Order: sequence, then structure tokens, then C-alpha cells
Amino acid sequence: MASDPTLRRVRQLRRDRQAQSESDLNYTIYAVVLVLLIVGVPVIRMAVLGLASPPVVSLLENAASPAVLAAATGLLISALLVLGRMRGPALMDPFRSAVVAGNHLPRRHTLRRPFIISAAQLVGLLVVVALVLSSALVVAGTTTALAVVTFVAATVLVGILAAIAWLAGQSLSTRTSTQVAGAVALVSLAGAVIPAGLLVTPWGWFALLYPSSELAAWPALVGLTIAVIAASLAVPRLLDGIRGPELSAQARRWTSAGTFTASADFAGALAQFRALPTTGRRWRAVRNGPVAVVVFGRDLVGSLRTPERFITAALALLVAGFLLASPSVVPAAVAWMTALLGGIIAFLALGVWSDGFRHAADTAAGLPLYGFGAAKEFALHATLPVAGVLVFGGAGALTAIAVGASPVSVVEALVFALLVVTVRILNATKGQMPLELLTPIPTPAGDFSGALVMMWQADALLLTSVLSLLLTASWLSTPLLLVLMPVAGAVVVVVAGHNLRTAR
Amino acid sequence: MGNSHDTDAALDVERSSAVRVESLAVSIDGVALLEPVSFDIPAGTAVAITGANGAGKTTLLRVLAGLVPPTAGSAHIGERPVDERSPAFRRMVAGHIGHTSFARDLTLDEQLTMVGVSWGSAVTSSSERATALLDDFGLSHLRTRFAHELSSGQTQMFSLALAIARPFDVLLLDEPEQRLDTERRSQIAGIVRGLVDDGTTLLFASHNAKLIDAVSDRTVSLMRS
Repeated sequence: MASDPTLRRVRQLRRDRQAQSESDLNYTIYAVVLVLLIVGVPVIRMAVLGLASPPVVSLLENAASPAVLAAATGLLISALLVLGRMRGPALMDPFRSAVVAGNHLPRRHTLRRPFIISAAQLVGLLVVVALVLSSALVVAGTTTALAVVTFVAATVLVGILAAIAWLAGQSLSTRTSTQVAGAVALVSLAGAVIPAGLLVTPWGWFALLYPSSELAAWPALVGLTIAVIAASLAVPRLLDGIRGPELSAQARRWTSAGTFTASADFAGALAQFRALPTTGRRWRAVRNGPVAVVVFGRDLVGSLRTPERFITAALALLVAGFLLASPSVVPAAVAWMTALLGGIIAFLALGVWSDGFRHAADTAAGLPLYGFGAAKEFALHATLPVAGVLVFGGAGALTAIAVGASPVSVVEALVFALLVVTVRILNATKGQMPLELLTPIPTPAGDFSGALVMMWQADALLLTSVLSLLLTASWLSTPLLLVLMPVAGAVVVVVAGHNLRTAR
Repeated sequence: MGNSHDTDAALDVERSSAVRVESLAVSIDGVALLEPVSFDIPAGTAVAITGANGAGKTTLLRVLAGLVPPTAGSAHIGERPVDERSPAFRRMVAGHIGHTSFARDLTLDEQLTMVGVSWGSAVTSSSERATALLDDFGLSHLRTRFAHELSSGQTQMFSLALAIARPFDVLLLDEPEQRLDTERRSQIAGIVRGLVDDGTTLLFASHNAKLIDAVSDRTVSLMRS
């Protein structure tokens, strides 16, 4: 309940306005419940049964699982710290940001509710994941119901901790939140590999509560609870510390992104979140040398001017390289998941180093600005993502050798990641969505045009996903894959060239 | 970089570039965007394209830039038919028509330098040219800014600087006075008139009588259908 009369009046007004669209709300609830019943339940059941299969259970029961869980949780907290700068948990629409958060009341009151809602959503999501994972272990008979309850309770606590980290990312300065995020990531990775590393961090304590046949580590649960209580004490100060202009900027950005998304312009929506450079303006981006070196240097320095994006892309490519080289060392039943996840992460990571492609596509549509010619300009801007794949993707793939991946799978992973670079070129050149796609296509299951629009928007990601699944296809031998992937890359580049010609 | 005969790479481009338009028209589904128009412009001439909103000024410039195909008539630049697929054509024609694509991760002087480098100049000479352009456009104090940090007027000035940072013989400008104050408009007038005096053929659409008077040698008036 809002304690302040002003807040109460504003919320009353909002409730009155919402009451007018009660039928909309009822319909939304009806649709959500139906989707959960028809899609959600079978998917969750399938996931539980899939995870409960013997090869996966042996993987989940691996002695290294708690360390992996601790590292993943630490990296999630680190990522949320960075995300807070782009989209914090204490966020309202632009109007309410101006009216409610811009008034005389402390932000610990005005922003408390949106923060609690966001935190609850995050905790809910994590609990679903924890329930699926631990239910699979119960089905497989490797753990007890008490251990599952303890683990879910710990998930709630770590979820609250993650939400507070997310809020810290929104409240602290960019420099501080980036430094803290980097430190958390480093400590998480170090804690996962050094002996007794799980004992020093709250997410390590969380990992100690991973369901097993052994007795739950009660001190870890107590420690985690104390850590969450201590962190919660900082929430009011963090809410007060949020700056009004940044709150408004985030609110406007999300509203614009929503508008772009509603008009099926996902590229426009994503552009809202692409950080603009603010640092390194005195670094020399254009240096003497052969033109390929000049453009590589220009792209590299340009990318370093948004260091959080650069670091995110580098780390993500490390993970992608590891995953793409790993399908041969995980059970065959989940090998496709590893490849698919690796492919998607590589695609997202390379988006950071595709600014050159997007700029080249943008300039190609108008009067010539650069003298390179479109094909050469794309080729020159490809040097940075290719170097990123070789350095960071390569390092990740080589790490996979330590867990049993073969050198051939490392080569496969790298060739695949280079193929994703060409998909990024294709994605940069696809231009505006054809209006014909908005034509209604009535089917017994409803209008199919929405699905077509979604497919057009996500075509590059879908293509990457399909290609990554082919990495684990048993009927494709390694030599054949190594021949087919460059051919696929060439086809993708030809289609991109066609896109550019038709865009003019 | 200015006029392309300043550079070695431009030696193969005809020096006496001119613009010849014969019964040029553009229509979509029978709706005229540009009524038939004809004119012949000698090299080194500044021509103002005037007309009411919707008369087809921007469409005419877009046709001459090779961005829109004409539905009737023909257009030649430097005795070559307008064809943006031709490298020689692209080499001759520069301009600022509508949206300018900025490199979001480069400062103003770096963007101008990169344009010069892309047309074959050394980094050092491109950098010197960038410095001179920023000075001419009154943007020197903003040289380490990123494009998103400019005001709307500064953005317009930088767009124009970017358009002339590359070599060209024919310059097409669509309402260069947009978002500029009186002083900046005079500055632009001086810069583009200087280019014309050095041999550039200029076509610019404008609603500003002072700019037209200060820059143009002749006027082409378009009539709305």
C-alpha cells in the first residue's frame, strides 16, 4: 500500500483508467492461461522428462555441476549489473516517470513498486528453471523432495540477490557498475575452478544447495539468507540513487522499442539498446597503413569506445566457442542443445561487431559516401568480427579440448562461427520488411501473417539455429561439414549482395 | 577533398562535367511526382531548383543521383547517362539528399578522414582535409564529438561537410539551409559558392531566397501538377 497520499491518488487514478479496459484484462488472463496450459505444461513436462534421461542425469549429477552452477549464477548477476544501465528493474512508462518519479517524494517510495514487480518476475523465472531442473532429478530418483524444496528456497533468495544487483546496475554510475560486474564475473569464474571456491560467494553457497542425495548444506542456506537481508538494506538507497534523466531516458527508450516492435521493426527496436560511445574520443581510430588495417583499426577502436559491449561480445564468443566445440563431449541426447546455444550466443555476440556492416548497408542505400564500393566495404568491415571469432571464439573452442573435445571439433566450431559472420552481413542488408507480409492469411488456427512477420524478423537467428543444429547431424561427416559451411557462407553473401542491389 | 580534379584518381574523369536533362518525368501508378522537365547546365555552374512543396525538387535530385529511375525522358551527367551502378558516375556525383548515415563510433574528424581514405587519399592528407573542412564549417571545436552529441543545426553542418569530404564534379544538395540560422546559411553559401568557382557543378533545391541569390547562377523552376 502506498503510504503517501500523493502516491495513493496517482495509483487510484491509474486503477480507474485501467478499469475501463477490464474486458481487455480478462482476455489477456484468458489467453495467458490457455497458452500456459496448451504450450507451457507440455513443454515443461517434455523438459523434465528429457532432463531425467540417464545420460543427462549423469551429467547433472556430475561432481562439477555445483561449480558450473555457481559460475553461471555469478555471471548472471554480473550480466544483470550491466543490464541495469540499459533497462533497470525500477522502470515505469515515460509519463509516470515524469509525473511520479519526478515529484517531491523520495524515489525509495515512488520506484519501490516497479522494482518489486520486476524482482518478482525475475525470481519467478529462476524458480521455474530450478523446479524443472530439480524435478528431473526427483523423477530420476537421485535426490529427495526436501533437497528440492531447499534448492527452490535458495533459488528465491539468489533471485532476490540478482534483482538487487540489477537495481545496483541501474543506480550506480556506468564506471562503477561495469567495474563491479567485471569483478563479480572474475570472482565467479575463479571461485568455480579453485578448491573451496564455492565457500566465499553467496552464489557459491547457492550452488552448495544444489539437489543431491546428500544432506542439504544448511549453513549455506543461512549464509545466503543473511546475505540477502544485508543486500536488501541497500535497496532504499539504491532506489534513491537513480538519476531522473536516466530514468526518463530508459523509459523513453523502452517505449520507442515497444513501438518499433509493435510495428514489426525489430531492427529499430534493437537499435534503441545499442549503446552509444561516450569514452575514448581522443583515441586515434584512423591510423596510417594498408586500407584493410586502417578499417580494422577504425572498427576496433570504435568498438572499444563502448567497452561494456566489447567485453560482453568477447566473453560471449568465448562461451560460444566452447559450446560449439563441445557437442562431441556431452551426451548425444543434449548435443543439439549445446550446438544450438553456442550458435545463438555466437550470433548475438557478433551483433556487437556488426556496426560496420550496418553502417555500410545504410550508406549503400544513398549517395556514395565512401569510395570503397559496397562489396569491398563489407569485406573490410568483416575483419573485426573475423578477428573476434578467431581470437575469442578460438580461445573458447580450445578450452573445450580440456574437457575432451577433439581438435577437429575446434576447427568445425571456428568455421561455423565464421559462417555466422556472413549471416550477420545478410542480416545487415535485409532492409525494410515487405508490406505484403502484413496481408492477413486466415487459417483455422487464426491469422498466420503474424507468424510470417516473426519469421521474417528473426530469419537470421532462425538460419543460425538451423545451421548450428546441422553441426550435430549424424549423417553429416566432418569433411562434408567443412566443405558445406563455406559454400553456405558464399550463398549467404550472394543473397546479401542481392538485398543491397534491390535496396537501391 | 572538394572538386575531384584536385586528386590524381580523378584524372580519368571528364573535367567538363555538365548536367543534361531531357523531358525527365517521374510518376508512380499514374501519379506524377515530377512533371516533365528539361535543362542543360554547363560545368562550373550553380543552379537553384525552386518550386512549391511537392513540385518534385527532391525527386529530381534523387533521379540525378541515380537513387530513383525516371519513368520518362533521360538525364546525363558529364555526358554519361545517370547510372549509379557505374563507378565513374559514382565518382562524379556527391551530395546531401535527406538522411545522412553517420558512423556512430567515430568522432567528427575521424569520419571525415575515413571518407578521404576510402577515396584513395593517404591518412595524413585526409586528416588535414578533415581539419580544414571542420574549420570551414565552424565545427573545429567539436572535432572530438560523436555525431549523436551534435545539435540539429550542427548535425546539418556536419552532414554537408561529410558530403563534400569526398571527390566529386557534380554536387547535389537538397535544401542545405534546413535547421540553420542566418549566420550558418551565409557560411554555407560562401562554401558552396567557392566550390562552384573552383569548377564544381552545383544543383541545389531551396526555399531560401537569400541563399539562392548568393549562390546560384541560374534557376530551374518546377511546377506542381
